[in-house]
Amino acid sequence: MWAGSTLSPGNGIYMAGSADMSKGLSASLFAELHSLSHYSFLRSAASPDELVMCADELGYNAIAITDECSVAGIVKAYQESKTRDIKLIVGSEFRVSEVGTLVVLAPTREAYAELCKKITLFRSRSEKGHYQANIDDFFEGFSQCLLLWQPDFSQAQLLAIGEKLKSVWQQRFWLLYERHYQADDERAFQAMVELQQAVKVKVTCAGGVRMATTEQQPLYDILNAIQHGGSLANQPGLASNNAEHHLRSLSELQQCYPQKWLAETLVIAQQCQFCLSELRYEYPAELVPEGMSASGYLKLLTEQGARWRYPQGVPESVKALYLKELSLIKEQSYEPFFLTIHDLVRFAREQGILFQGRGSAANSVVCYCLGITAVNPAQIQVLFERFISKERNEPPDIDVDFEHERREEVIQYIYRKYGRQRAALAATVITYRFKSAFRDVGKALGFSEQQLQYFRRNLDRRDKEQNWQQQLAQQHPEVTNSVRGQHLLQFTEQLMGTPRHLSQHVGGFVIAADDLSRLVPVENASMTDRTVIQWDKTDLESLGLLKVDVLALGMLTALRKMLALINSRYDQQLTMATIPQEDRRVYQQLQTADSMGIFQIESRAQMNMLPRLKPKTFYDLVIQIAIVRPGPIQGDMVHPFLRRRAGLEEVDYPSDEVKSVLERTLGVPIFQEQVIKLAMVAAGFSGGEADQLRRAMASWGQNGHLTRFEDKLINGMLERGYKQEFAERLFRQICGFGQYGFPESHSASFANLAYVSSWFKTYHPAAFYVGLLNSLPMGFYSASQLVQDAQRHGVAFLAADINTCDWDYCWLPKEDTNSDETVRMGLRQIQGISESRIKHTLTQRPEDGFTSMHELRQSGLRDSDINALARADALKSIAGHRHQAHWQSLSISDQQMPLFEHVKDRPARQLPAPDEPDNIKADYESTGLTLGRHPLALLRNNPELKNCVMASDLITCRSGQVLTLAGLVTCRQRPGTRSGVTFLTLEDESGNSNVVVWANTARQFRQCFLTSNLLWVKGIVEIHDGVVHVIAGRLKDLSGLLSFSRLESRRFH
Amino acid sequence: MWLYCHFPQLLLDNRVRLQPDSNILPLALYQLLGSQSVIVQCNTLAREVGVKPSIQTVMAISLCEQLQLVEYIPEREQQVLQQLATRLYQWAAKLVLYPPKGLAIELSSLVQLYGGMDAVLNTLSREVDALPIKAQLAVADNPLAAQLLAEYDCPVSLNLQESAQLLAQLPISAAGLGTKIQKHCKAAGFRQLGELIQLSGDEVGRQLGLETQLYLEQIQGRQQQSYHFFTPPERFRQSLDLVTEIPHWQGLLFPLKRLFSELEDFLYQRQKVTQQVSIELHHRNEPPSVVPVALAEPGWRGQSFLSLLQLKMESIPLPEAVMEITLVANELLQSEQYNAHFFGVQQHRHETLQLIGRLQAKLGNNAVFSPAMNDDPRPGYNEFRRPAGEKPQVLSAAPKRPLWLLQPPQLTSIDLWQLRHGPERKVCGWWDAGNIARDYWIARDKFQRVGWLYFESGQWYLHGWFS
Repeated sequence: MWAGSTLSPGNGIYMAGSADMSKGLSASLFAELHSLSHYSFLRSAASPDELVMCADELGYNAIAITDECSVAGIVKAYQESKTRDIKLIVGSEFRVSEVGTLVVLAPTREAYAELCKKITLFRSRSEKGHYQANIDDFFEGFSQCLLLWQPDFSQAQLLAIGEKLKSVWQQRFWLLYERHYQADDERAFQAMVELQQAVKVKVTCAGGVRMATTEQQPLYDILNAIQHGGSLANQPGLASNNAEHHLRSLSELQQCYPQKWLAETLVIAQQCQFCLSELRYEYPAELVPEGMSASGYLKLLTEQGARWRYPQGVPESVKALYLKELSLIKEQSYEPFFLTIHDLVRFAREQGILFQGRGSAANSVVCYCLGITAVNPAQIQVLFERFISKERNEPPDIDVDFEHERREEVIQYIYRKYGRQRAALAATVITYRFKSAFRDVGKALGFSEQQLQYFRRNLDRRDKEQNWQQQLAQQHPEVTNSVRGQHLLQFTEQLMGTPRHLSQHVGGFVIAADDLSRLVPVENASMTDRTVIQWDKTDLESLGLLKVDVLALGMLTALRKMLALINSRYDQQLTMATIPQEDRRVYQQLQTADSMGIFQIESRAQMNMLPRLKPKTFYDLVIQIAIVRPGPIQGDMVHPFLRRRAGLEEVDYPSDEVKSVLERTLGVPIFQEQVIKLAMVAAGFSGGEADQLRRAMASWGQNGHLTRFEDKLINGMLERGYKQEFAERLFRQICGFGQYGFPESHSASFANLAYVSSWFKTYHPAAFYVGLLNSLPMGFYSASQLVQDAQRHGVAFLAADINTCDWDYCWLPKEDTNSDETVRMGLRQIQGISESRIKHTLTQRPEDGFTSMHELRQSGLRDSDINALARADALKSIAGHRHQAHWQSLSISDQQMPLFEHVKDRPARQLPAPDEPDNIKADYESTGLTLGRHPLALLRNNPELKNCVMASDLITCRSGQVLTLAGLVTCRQRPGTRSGVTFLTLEDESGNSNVVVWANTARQFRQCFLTSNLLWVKGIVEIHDGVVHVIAGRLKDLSGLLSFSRLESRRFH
Repeated sequence: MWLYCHFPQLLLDNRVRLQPDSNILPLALYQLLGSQSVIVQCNTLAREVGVKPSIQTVMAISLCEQLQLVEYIPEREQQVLQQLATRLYQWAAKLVLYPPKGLAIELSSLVQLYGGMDAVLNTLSREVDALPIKAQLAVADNPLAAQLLAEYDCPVSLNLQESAQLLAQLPISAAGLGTKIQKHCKAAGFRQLGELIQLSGDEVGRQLGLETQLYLEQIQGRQQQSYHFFTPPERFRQSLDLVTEIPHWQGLLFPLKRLFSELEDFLYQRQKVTQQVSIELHHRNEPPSVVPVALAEPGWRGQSFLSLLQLKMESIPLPEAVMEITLVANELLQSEQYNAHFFGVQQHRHETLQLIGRLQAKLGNNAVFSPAMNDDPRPGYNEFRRPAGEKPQVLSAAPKRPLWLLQPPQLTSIDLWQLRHGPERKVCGWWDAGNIARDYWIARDKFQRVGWLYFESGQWYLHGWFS
């Protein structure tokens, strides 16, 4: 045959034997049976939904997403397929050495369960992210799945394997041929035909898809280079020969494959009838007592709870509300979800573990009655549409926070109760972010790590004026003008958002009625004894599966400890619920911004808001927590609210409907629900549509979903007679909310913890600080800052000593100290000692205390522990001052030899005692804080610090006055909401001061701004509503005056 | 008596010495320690804006945007130290290297030679000062003590009592103790080395371990420390300062002849041969020009190098007038080895190598090469050039490719061909703008010749012939 002048790619290869090419090709139908999405990490450039979309547009009958030993991408594909006329087949690919690639498809629900169980098995054999399968695994355990085998023709023994597979799988077995126009196509084709004839099995074909379109070839090559850790510049062999791994058009496929093999794809697709919609979450049955229905039992529990919550009689309104909620729950069959959470909190309550629920469904009377939440929904407005929305057909969401030190007990309870076969954590998909994408793409293109670091160093991702590409073009035009630089820009952007690996969700559990791995594969997490499923939160939502969020919260631990201290000292039965409400003194203290250590309102931004908002009631706290968020700040809601609250601005509402929504927040939307409700009353959104708006808000910035709502929202409002300006302002505010706005119920739950912690700080400061210090690390402040704050609140601290201390900080009885507010430092504050060994030693402490190093060693302490105790000056009672104690502890004494065991410590030479600076320095080094004088107090007489104002005196200055101050830099913070400004916190012996450094000043004094520990500032003091700031004009680094190494300073965050 | 020279920023200074331009901007050397990148040396300009050793590179960049960063490689610094030692070896034979930044010189044996300690010190410090390399010198009765004093930059004192005093005043952190021992000393309130020295040896041993006890005794010269004296490497390196700057090759011939004759003497005396020498031509502003001259087989006659160089020099332009010439022969070989099979089977190879040598000398090293292949998927791109004479790498599982590749491919008409195998689709090369999009076929013409054809942009091309 002499070829014509046009290229016809299918010619040639089949000269070896196939006569199919000469036949006319009539029906153009095809099902793709082997395609990988980017959930086969780094092996594909296409997202599952792209694959489905393209396959549909090309006119495929069906597409199988067959990620490697995974179904992590299938739900996304399913979501897309629901809106299209294409069948989605669930499957998975396995690479087996010496055999080739095996593609398993799930034609039925039962087959799907088989597949999930096998994936779970293969994954369980390896550590996180890997799997292990061998050919024997495919000889049993699959009774319903279909198998496609793409042999590795470089291997021997293929015939034997083929025959064995044929005998096991019988009619459910095909050979799989894929052609990508490579040099050895012909050989592979011949080998396939020979194997087919020998094994007598049908052949089908597939695309081995790794990209949706040919445009994805560069990204695919980059992923391959990343996977192999090479660069395309140095190892061009890492690039693909061509883009034939894309979804090819039907005519291309017809030229590529024999018609018979193409037709076979349809036969196979025809057999695949399984759809993910068949998956039903079957709830654990053991939660409902025998003879009762789930709804009946939930109703019973709710009624019991209501009587407990309202001992004076359940109000009719409450009753009506929970009945309405129960009927909604029943309609959606969500009872087991509520029962599951009820069971967990019941367990926690029995164990004395503090907890608190939040989330959309927590916003309900049912949850209040079941004891899941502590905030009476009557105190806040419950937006019912958020509770359970029929329209969105998505499960309710309840997060329960537990004490961070004891959450593990709850998790273990779940595992114990349901077994590891039935419970696992949800996955979180870790995707490429800018930094990782930039680095990996850059390396794949042949840039060095140093070069990339150099390019990236001045890119400000929060710059709103210029995106990072523009910034890079400005700073390094030589890069962006080059072809390689252009590729860097283009593909970094493309790679961002691509999944890298699966990780575990912070606490979202999925619990199944029986074997969970029949529902979704389970794999190992990086934490030992933790397993995760292959789906993330959105996948679960899409399939209507419920997860239970078991989260950890440090403040709950601290509160439990505070309650225990008070209850044991005063023999009380105080609980979070019985703490006196709406106490005036508590609010008075908060109004002065005295909130260090208090939940949620201890940050600098919150502290600045307190004297301006002046909370007087619980609801004020709810607002305070919601308003100091990037959403309201960016949406410019804070100032109007404050002006209106102060009566400086009139509150007006364009209509009564809007008034009904915004009245409680003075006409300014502050909570997420208000925005949703506004969209409903002012723009005519239905409840479900409004909820979609909420979801779009949550992911705004990542995609353009929000703009979809712009027209609808603005037009809707115009139609209802609202002014254009009002409509646009509302839309802007919605955008500002972004992902940061708090729902009201959430804010209320947090306000509850804020109030309770403030109450402790006001009435029982010693217990408050002891509770916090014994729960670190948590919150915003270091132990040093907390101890100083405590001292300012009249709490006295005693130094640590092995003969008087416990592991934890202790609140000392009044009779011992003549004061009710004395605390002894806990040994936990000392660095470098082993908790378990110290605790063991403390159990052996003699009545009169230890008297020698020898005894300490005998009690099980190691030299490293003893050295650390000596450095912290905690061996005073045994060996004198810290120098002496340390020297003595070093002695490789004769006692360590068994012969001389009875010999006491050898009297050591007398070393000079440390002076005050020595002690302070050593205190900081070993405990991170000092109970002695503040370092600044020692330096006050230094000429450098002459005329410096103390932090506590700032308030007495005149606003606008120029002054100097100096302090240790304890915090450098650059908020995302205000570009170009950094807030520094300086600490001196009298307290903290806030310094504002503008970008220009920071640049001018760059060195001391970035590196100084002890900073001198000359600036202007500004005082408004009791909030004091110093605007820095000049900075000077005085760090040379100290040589303290462990003065912690928080970096930008 | 020992003199210790500590070069705190040897690699950086050496870099500045060779490339003075690099000192115009802030410059720092960084080192990767685990996942962290830390500054280890920096020039004055960098110091002025706050960059200093031990800060993180990211911080340094934040402090100074124009900072030039160069990776610090300890081995390279050690090489520089070797060179320095070789230079000082002319003046003092008993040298001990303390890589990567220091060396100690035994002084007592030199006193007689130079006529007094002052003369020795003067000579040596002049030699060190002549290098624009920052050096901290100290004298003590043992190299270890001298090292500590030099590293702490104490003033030089010939009075041993005085240096012992200085030693006692060193802070614990500068006493060369391990981090753990330092920590213990600090925790027990010791500040200076002297406080430790005062303790009895037993007490030190008991409290801080026998190793520390031994170390303290070594510092005080009570225990001998073991060391190896430096021997200069076996290689030739000779420089010639030209009286006037010479702008052309012709003028360099005479001084070169002199250097080559020195080399010839050097090799003859040692019964050595060498295959390659290099000539470094130093200029006032430009970086030095380096001209390698390689014989096809090792030899020792200056003339054979010189005549090769004469063939070559015409094609090498001088960027600037030459101030100094250095002749270097690094690899010296035993001469007998190369005489044994001078005749015999090696004869042919010898001629080939000689031919390659002459071709390289005439055409330049880069013009003579052997072909090789890499794994670039694009035909034509997958060839690269190996240095001539190197053994080829064989790629396994390479696809069938024609023996003879036409470059550039020729337009052809498909009517002349019968397509046999294909297509092999090549759509790639996006990353370096060498994009191709072709379908390759193996085809036969009416003379039964097998050609490699491809179709691209509507045209057929012949790209090669199979044998």
